[in-house]
Amino acid sequence: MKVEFNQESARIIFGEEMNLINKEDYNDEFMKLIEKGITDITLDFNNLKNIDSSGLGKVLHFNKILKNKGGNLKIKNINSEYVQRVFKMIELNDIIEVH
Amino acid sequence: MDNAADNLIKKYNFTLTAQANKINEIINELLKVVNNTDHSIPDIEFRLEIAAREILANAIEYGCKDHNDEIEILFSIEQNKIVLSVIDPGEGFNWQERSFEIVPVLDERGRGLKMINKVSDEMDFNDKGNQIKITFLGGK
Repeated sequence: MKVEFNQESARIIFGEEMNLINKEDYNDEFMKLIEKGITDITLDFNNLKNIDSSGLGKVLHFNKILKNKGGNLKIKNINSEYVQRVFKMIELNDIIEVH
Repeated sequence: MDNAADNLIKKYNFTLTAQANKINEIINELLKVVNNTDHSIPDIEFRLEIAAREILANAIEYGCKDHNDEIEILFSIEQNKIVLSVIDPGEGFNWQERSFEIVPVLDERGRGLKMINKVSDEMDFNDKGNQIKITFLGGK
């Protein structure tokens, strides 16, 4: 995981997995950005190969926090066919802005 | 007449200690079995991976108290049917009261079983709720 940010926006670059094991690590980094007052956040899934329901739940949690603050969550670069199909299956594309 | 070899059932047992970083190893083993067997189950790699990932994560998160707790995995494969059964040492859960229909809700939790139900052809639990059995069925 890597995090890039400036005063207004941030990008969290994901590793290969988002699941039960590491979801809280992502949550910690996300909350640090929120504490800095950043509410325009992009999740970069370029490297992400798999995600489970607990990881998906965390992404929805991020979305909810930002919406409540009048901010915006975007997901970019979903390369993995597995992740694309999971998103489609649970209709996440209808809830979160995916590019 | 069917070739008798088509109906052979291959059975495998795996044990997972309650460590989430071992889930990928089990999934790779299951996929290896599937790829080395002649079967007619459509789109099985994706469906099995989704289901196994969710089932094993649930078993660890809700069915185990200690990292040394053991989860038993039974996997059987034949030409027209694949069955994955997972038993955890936990207290089980009240599956009769759950809805397994996927709807686009914003809640953080409660999506795993719905995903398993969506990708499998049949999903069953034992009465106690600490064993799940899913079945994938083949074509003609």
